[in-house]
Amino acid sequence: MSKGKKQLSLGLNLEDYRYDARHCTGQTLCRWIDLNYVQGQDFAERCPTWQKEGFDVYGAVGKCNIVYYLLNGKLDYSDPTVRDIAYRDLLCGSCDVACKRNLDYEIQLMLESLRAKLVENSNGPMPQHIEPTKNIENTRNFYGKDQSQRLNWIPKNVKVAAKADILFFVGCRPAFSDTQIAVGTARILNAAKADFMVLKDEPCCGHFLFSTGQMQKARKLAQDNIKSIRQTGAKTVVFSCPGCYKTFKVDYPKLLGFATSDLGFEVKHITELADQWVNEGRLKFKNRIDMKVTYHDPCNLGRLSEPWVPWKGVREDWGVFNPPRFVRRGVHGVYEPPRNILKAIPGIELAEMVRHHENAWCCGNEGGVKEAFPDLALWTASERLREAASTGAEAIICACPACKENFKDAAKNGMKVYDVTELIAKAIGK
Amino acid sequence: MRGRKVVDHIPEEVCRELEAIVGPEHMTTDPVICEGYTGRGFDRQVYWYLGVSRRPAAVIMPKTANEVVRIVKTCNRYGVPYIPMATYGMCFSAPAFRDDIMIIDLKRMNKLVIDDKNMFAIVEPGVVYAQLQGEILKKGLVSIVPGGGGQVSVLANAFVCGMGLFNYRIDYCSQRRLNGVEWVSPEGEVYHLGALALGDDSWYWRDGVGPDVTGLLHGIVSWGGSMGIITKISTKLYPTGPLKLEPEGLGPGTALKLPPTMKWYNIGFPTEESCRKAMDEITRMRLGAVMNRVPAYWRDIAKSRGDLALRNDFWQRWNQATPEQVAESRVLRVLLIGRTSQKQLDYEERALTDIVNEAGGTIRPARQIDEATFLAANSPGMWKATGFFGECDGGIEVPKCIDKTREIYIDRLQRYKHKSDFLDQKSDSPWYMPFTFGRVYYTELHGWPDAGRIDPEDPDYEPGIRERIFRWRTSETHRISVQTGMKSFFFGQVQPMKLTEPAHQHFSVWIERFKKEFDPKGVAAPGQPYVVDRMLEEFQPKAITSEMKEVVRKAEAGPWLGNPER
Repeated sequence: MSKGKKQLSLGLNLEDYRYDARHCTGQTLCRWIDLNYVQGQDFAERCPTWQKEGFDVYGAVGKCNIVYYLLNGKLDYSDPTVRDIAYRDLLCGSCDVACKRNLDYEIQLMLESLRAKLVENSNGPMPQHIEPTKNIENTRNFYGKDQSQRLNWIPKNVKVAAKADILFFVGCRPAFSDTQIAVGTARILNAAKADFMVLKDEPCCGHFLFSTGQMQKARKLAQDNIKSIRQTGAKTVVFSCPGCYKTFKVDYPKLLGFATSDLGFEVKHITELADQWVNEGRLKFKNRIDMKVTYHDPCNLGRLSEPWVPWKGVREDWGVFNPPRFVRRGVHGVYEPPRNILKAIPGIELAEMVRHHENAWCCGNEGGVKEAFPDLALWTASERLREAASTGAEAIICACPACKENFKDAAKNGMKVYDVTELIAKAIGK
Repeated sequence: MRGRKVVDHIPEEVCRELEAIVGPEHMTTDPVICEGYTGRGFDRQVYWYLGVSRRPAAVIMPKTANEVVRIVKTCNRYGVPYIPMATYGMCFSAPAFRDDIMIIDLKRMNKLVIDDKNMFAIVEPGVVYAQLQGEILKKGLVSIVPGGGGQVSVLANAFVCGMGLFNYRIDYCSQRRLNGVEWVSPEGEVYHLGALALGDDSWYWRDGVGPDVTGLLHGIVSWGGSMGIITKISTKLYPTGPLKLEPEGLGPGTALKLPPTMKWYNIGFPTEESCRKAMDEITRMRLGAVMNRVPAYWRDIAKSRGDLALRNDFWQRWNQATPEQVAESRVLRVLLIGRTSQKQLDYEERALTDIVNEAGGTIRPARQIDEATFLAANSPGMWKATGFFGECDGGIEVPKCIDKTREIYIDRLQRYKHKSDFLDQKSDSPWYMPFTFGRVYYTELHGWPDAGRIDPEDPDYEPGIRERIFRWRTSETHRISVQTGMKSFFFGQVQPMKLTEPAHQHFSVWIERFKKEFDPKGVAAPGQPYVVDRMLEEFQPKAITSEMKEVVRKAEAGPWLGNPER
């Protein structure tokens, strides 16, 4: 056993990633999708920021250098360029899964920790993040809207139980901005005869706070939200927003130091349940939808959604973890349920993009980028729409309100944009 | 200018001129943005950990050859040293030893044109092998993905060894795949070489009018950026027949499904001699598309996947293997492709089986997938074991010389009193494979240390181990190469050129003459290709032993004609 090895927890302490940052091999697989999936020159890259900005510092390989030099004092946490590099980053997890094909370096956790450190040093978040943060703090929702209107999306013919085993956590976007997704989800639950309840004063999940590095605020929200949900007695919490889903499933346990399995309730995305119900015959598709579509894997539903398992230990001889550690590689994300559902809807023809599953190109609406760097967000979305169009699809289907929002903002080529809940609701005749 | 403008090393008016060439978004002197390029390239750990690597003074990203010419001429006018990089796989971890070097990042130059009828592709530096291969496989053509991986630049790789598994058939030397070259000299003059010299847009052939200048630019290891910038090449492609390789799986276990006309074989042999005998016969019969003698620990590296940390998984497997089991399980990997038909595959399979049986070997089950030949490559996966990819030396020579080199290396490593500095290879042979149907063979002599122990910033750092490793690489491993005459592929990257060039006919005389002629101001990658020499002189002088110097002296005295008995 090595002497003097630092105890690591590989949570949100940047110092824990000194080994990862220093031992980056520079092979730049963080730039390309899994090479076995490359089909040609186009759609071969995986990092939107790196592809758009060009300089290597905008890719994980360059960021490893920056983190290392911050840790050893050569660079300063107060540097504005450091902040630009740290926040001009979708935190989509693509570089993380790429690195983990060959190594066990925790790039995503390192980048989350970097933002946390910048906020601690008062060099984060970005100025454009202040307003949404204040909204969440003051009005308990991302938009700064009247929180008492949060449940206004519920139509009269949707049945919501006073108490049920399933709690539908709606999320700010479906509640206030894209209510079709909330309505679609509720109709699916009703159609499957799955009683569900909602929180009367549902607060923001805090995903925005977490992803912009405001961990103290995110932690407080996490504690309160978990307490609220446990008090309802819900056994399963269902989400239509992967941002909320991943926050509850992964980031709350990470912030509070326990495992996903210790949340006290199950966490599911609506597509996981809907897929199960289609197989069980509880959801039947009565209506045809004749359309060629392609499915976009949301980062928070796919590669970033594996459960959190806390760990403490050291890297010993040869860099081996002691105790052994399981690594979240994005392999066990929610990839197949949405696809199964789409293939089961009569009339739908599903075409796969080049970059799919863990290699999916981000939509551009993550990590606070849409607020701070709208050009980057829109460019990222337009690249994805270009890729969608290359399949011959007439519509891109996502399972995330943030993805849908950004695609709609960027769609100029006539590509239709739907959330999968909308198609399910239409197909089941609701 | 991108980020903060800092004019420590390059005067402001020069920065303005350079910025005007590419536009403000594509140039930076911001130290934080530049820091992203520090310590990159081959053997990054070694250079970076020793403190040799420097932050560049600026980074500039041209889009066209015209912009490259203007940048280089500006650098010459004002004496701004520069170093080009494409994907930064091999760039000797430059810049090194100097703070005033500007990096010319060529990734924006990514034109790719394919002439499938005449079987060549025109590429700029920013195109990587996976992209080229992805496009040409659809057209029934194939290129060679080097061991460094499908993520390396096609153009840059074409000027060094440029070799991969398909060199078994397609000739080891990447130079022979070059048709035409567009070269911006260190002073900014543009040369069109090969068929382009004939004045038309012919990219189909290597030879032009007059002497072949491409040979000046290409070498086993080449110039490291110190002979200007290649901005375009035409590279040969090879027919493979219609091949549909479907990707499957999620990382780290992704692979390509093989069609029925392709088949991998894992073949076990009771002794290394019987394995070699079979290889000789297989090459003589011109069978197969790939043949590769794989060390046992590579197989455990390849098998390491799943949810457990990869390094944990590898060591759990490798620690269970005994030397006896390793000796019994030596594996030769062979890929057969029925290019013309299934009948061809069937015939080759029967011939292969006969040869294996005659040599006392056994064909074992093999998964019919490809993980590292067509699009990805083995090398990036090699980091799994120790975090540090340790090449001590490697090279190419006639089969007898390579056999001798390997035997000596296995024996020396086994008897080395500091053997535990490295991953224990349990007396297994280093990797080797035939090139050009066995006319020559290639081998790599690895020593894999713990990345933590050689890093002065790591709590487990041992200064002694770092010294020993440098001595092992230069004065033990490379001594074998010089003694047996194996042509080292790692000059300038791992091995010091000036130390051993007397044993190789003083080729640095030519390097210096050409450098003086083409780069009189010395602005192109200054210090290259001698960075390793300087690194050892300043930081690891004990790496070069008197025995090594004596071996070089004897080799210089001759005879040098590749005598493996020497």
